[in-house]
Amino acid sequence: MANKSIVAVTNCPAGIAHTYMVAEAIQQKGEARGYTVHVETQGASGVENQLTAEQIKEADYVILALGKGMTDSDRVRFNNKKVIELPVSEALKRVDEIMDNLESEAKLFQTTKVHMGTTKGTKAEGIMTHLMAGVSAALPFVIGGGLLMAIGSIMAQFGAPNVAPGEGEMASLAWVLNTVGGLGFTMMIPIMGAYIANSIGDKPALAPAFLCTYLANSADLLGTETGGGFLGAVVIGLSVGYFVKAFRKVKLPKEIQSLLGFVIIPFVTLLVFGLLTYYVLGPVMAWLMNALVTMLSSIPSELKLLAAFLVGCMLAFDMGGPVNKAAWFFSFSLVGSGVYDWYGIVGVVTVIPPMAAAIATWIRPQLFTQAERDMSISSFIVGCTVATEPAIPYALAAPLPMISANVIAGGIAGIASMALGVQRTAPGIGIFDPLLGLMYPIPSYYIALAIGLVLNVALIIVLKGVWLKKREEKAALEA
Amino acid sequence: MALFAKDHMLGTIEASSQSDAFEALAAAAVRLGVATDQAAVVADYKEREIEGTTGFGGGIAIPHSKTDNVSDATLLFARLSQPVEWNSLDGEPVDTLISILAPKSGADVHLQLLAKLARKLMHDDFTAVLKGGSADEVCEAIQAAIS
Repeated sequence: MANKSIVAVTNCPAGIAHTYMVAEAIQQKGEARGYTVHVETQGASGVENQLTAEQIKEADYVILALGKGMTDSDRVRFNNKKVIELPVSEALKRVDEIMDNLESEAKLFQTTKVHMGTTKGTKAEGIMTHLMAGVSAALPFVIGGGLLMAIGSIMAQFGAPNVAPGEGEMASLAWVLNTVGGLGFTMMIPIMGAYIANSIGDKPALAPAFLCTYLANSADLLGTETGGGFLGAVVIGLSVGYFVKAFRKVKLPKEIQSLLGFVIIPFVTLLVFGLLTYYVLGPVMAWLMNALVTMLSSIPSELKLLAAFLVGCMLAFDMGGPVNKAAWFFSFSLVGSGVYDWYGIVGVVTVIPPMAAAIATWIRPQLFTQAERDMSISSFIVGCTVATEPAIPYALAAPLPMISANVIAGGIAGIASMALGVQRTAPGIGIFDPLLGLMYPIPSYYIALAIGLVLNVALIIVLKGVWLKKREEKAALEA
Repeated sequence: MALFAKDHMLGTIEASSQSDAFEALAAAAVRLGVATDQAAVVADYKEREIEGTTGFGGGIAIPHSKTDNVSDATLLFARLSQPVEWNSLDGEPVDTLISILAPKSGADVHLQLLAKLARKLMHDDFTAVLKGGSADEVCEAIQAAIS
């Protein structure tokens, strides 16, 4: 039979001394007694030697030597294990005694089960945990930025000057609000990618993921018509995260090992993923967008309603990414030739996802996390006036049900808009455009909008409900 | 700013209490240019000590703090003119100090070196040098631990 094994986690208030002293003591004393030992340190330079699911599964005993506690989601890892939990200083003092009496010191660990039912949203596992880390970092950017933009746009529509600073001229207030708010939207995407990567690969992953996602979302830097949007952030965040996670295991000569996290990993990762983003992701997105525009243009005119459905679906799909941009570009380019009904679909569909998500949190709050409920009012306001972006965090927190609901409702709203002959001549402030004369006929617009909204809310409630239930069943099975 | 150098060896300092020792360490940090407010650093040491003793036994303590009152990570070594009460894990008074000060904000490239040093403290051959070695031997042992 293989050696008995011990896994341990150590942390301490400052994260610079006891975390490592105790880790070393456990390692030494455990190995001296013939155990295989793995110790995860949660110190000032981040989590190191993170325990793998495999290591925990095989461990006979778990030692938690904690100086600053441990979150419930972190504890869940040790459910049903024989656990010895004690303050870090006591661990240092009694390490020999503990090692000699593991069986009698250990207690079967099940406390976390009690918490499972009450911490909805925090018990996400695997990739979802990482996506949620991205969502919670990005939320304040959308909320703050969106509200500023909403105020700026409304001011501009009601006659306030919207001028950029020029020679000897100050910028107008509406322009400043729009610009500052716009920064929130611009930065939301790289922050999302950065924190997804950070959640997987820890601090060394943050900078390269931030920079690459920023690049991937900057059409002007890539020389393309479109940026990567939030799906780009997910792709880059996950791939950089796992890349760095693997990279951290590299063993270098002692003299330069300390450079790994702060110099070597960020440099190499940025080099690799920066070039990949520029030379692979950029062209792929440009190609995808072109292909989609060509496809839309090639649909014969007698299949107008089918095309309207597709445009609606695409607009709602990635909220600012290549698919959305292709549909927008197709619609907007026809405005120049005096065809307004495709751009009418844009006016109807782009306001629906954020408003629908907000309304769904009011009708069925139990399907959403506290943060999602808290941002609902600002999502609604921003969504109905200037931007689709507030729907992104909701989509990322539950991609399958939310995006499906948005896409289906977007497609149907597209058909409704086309069938009712909604026309749009210029962008304005969302659902108020018909009142400003930018969209007509007024009743048609609101009917199409209502159809899309009702359908979208209903689909969110049904699909997310099923999705959550499945996840809970899965979690219960694993526990 | 060097994490550790010859002038971080404070020799034997006059101290009749834990507070005296903290004052002397903080004064050294100011003298070395990593801190400007001696009293604030003393308060940081005391605050950490309240969370749990840093006297880990055998007459050695590792007073430390992660604080924005210092600009760079710094290691200090000192012996005390007489053993002082430290509420140590083994109850013994302390006469040998190895102190770590690290800035709170920003990632510090020295953190991983400090982690190596902390691990070293669990090795008897290393602590034996800290306790009984000459100044040169101690200096060398610490240099070796963090390189």
